[in-house]
Amino acid sequence: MILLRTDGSRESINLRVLDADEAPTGAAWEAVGLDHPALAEAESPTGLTLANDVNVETLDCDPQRFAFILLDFPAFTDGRAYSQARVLSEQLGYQGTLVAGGELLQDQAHYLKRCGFNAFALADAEAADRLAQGFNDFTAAYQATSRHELPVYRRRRA
Amino acid sequence: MYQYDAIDQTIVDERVRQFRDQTQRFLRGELTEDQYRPLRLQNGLYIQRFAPMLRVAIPYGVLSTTQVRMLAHIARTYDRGYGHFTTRQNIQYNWPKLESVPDILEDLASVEMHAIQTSGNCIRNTTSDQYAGVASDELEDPRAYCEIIRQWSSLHPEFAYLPRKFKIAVTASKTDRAAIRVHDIGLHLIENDHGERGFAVYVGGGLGRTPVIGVKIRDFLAPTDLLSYLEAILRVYNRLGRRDNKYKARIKILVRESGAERFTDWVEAEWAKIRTGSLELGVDDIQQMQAYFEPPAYAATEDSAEIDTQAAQNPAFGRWLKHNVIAHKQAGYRIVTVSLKDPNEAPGDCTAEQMERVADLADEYGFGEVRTTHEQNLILPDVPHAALFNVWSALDELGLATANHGTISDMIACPGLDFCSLANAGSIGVAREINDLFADLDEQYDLGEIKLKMSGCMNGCGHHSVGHIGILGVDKKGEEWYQIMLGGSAAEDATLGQRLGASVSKHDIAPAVRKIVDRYAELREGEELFVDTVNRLGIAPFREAVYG
Repeated sequence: MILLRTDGSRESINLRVLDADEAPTGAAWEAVGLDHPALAEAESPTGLTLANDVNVETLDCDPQRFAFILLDFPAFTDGRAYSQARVLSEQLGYQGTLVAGGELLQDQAHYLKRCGFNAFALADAEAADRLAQGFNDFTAAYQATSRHELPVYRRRRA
Repeated sequence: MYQYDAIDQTIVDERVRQFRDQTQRFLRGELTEDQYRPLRLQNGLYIQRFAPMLRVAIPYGVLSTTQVRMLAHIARTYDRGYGHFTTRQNIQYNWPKLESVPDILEDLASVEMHAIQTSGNCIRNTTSDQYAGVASDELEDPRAYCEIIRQWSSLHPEFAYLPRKFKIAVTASKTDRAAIRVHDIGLHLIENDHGERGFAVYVGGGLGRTPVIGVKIRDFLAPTDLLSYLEAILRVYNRLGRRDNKYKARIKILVRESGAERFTDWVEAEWAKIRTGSLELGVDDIQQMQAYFEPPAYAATEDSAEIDTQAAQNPAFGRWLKHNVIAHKQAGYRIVTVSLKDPNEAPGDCTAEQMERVADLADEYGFGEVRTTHEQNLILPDVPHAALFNVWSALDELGLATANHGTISDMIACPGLDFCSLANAGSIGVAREINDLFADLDEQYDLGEIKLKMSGCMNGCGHHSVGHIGILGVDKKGEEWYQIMLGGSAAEDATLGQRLGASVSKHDIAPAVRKIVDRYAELREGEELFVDTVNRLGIAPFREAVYG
């Protein structure tokens, strides 16, 4: 699997979502779901994966524990994970790697990036090339959506 | 009116480039039909019965004459010389070629227009009172807020893939001409007991398969909180709106299934978290936007003394004056409804030449602005009283002076079976048959206001659920049949019409309307309006008139 980052860099990774009876090994790209017993332990698994119907505002574990959080797009037309990403990065201040997985089209790349995703799990290098083409579809936007942008009405008055 | 700066222009230009690329990828086979469909819909492009249909956004119904001329140019160059104005104040072209759509979008971008989010499961064009800024009964011009909402909602990265489409309407008058309570969000600008202005917020209204009147979830929202509150509503909807069944995916179903109180609690809780962030508008942010909508340089002018003579000498002008001209907030000016309801034409259709001549009139007798209405007419918003006769003469020559505003022949109708692949019924043909049965304008005046609204299928583009008389096309074993509803209203007293009885055949629908109206004429008391008679007596006498 290829991990593409918003800066354009790529790396080949072995992204694994552990079953509830699999113990974390501490490997870099291992994720557990909310039902995994390892969550109750002091030593955190590397990553957390959330289904897109999870309300991240009421998570009872601290997202900062995880080096990465994987959010899912079961279909590119299912936009729930955009809201999850914004709440994680803007309201909960998540600073780690926010990974989008599932069906990702290049036409969503700029939306994903602006909602706070900074990495994308893709099947192969070709898919990564396509998605990366979409990063720069837009150089301007009206809304302030990531941690550092200003909304258009602030920029116009600056 | 609003004018683009470099930010707006960049966004629209880049969307054109992106869409061109998407279309080329589709034509090269790099995007499947299932992948391309949501992308093209988000740019207003449907694949229709005969050809693609392109829906162009007219934000809150306001157009400059430069833009009107461009719409005419597009009709002539890429289509068959006309366009269709819709119930969402937009315009649709029914015959463009898929390959030429990117070029059309580029032409639109050159006059600060686009087709962004005119379809698809995203936030659609924000609509408003067609008389915004000139209405004699408005509290304040709502257009600045509409534009603020337009910018916030355009290419909003979080809300591009909602469970279903999402429509917002804003009004600032007591009389609701924007049908706000049949929108996903309706905003009504009001003054509270302390003399402060803000919005009453309605949520969960909508037409279509399951028509619902929106419920008020907030009595008063300060204008500075507008965007944070909208964002809170949208986030709750994006998270919790149903995605398992497209017929249950609108926010109205979420509000109904969760209960308005619980839904409101969710919104308020989300709002509390984001209210004071970057979404909070400054008073100066709002003022900066309002500066774009300052009234034009009206002349100090009086009403013309000649008008009575002109009306007496030209009865047709007199009729038009009475029905298609209304009061303006500025002395010496009037608001003119340009009727797109010639009985021999499809409601809402307008030729390229008509558009250009209307633009000329708006330049000559106005300040270069034209409006579109959700009732599918055009508006000349600033006509000097003394110029009314000239304006009428010009419109009359163009077939745009049908003096039927508010009458039964000023009907709303979707394009129907003639164009739309969703339709069950030929709304346009039925409209013509009904018009034939009400050919006498004097009779129409005598009948008074009757809002007839017709949709070719239950998606309800023709707003049939809220017509005084609503007609819905249904398919019965491959044949066109029609359901009739009575007593609906889209105004401040928003109500859904009641179904009269079993559907009637295509052959019987126009005569059925005639029977309903005849029964009303027998039963009305004094000058009682049609809808009031229906409300007073219920639908039973009308059912009897139609079904015997």
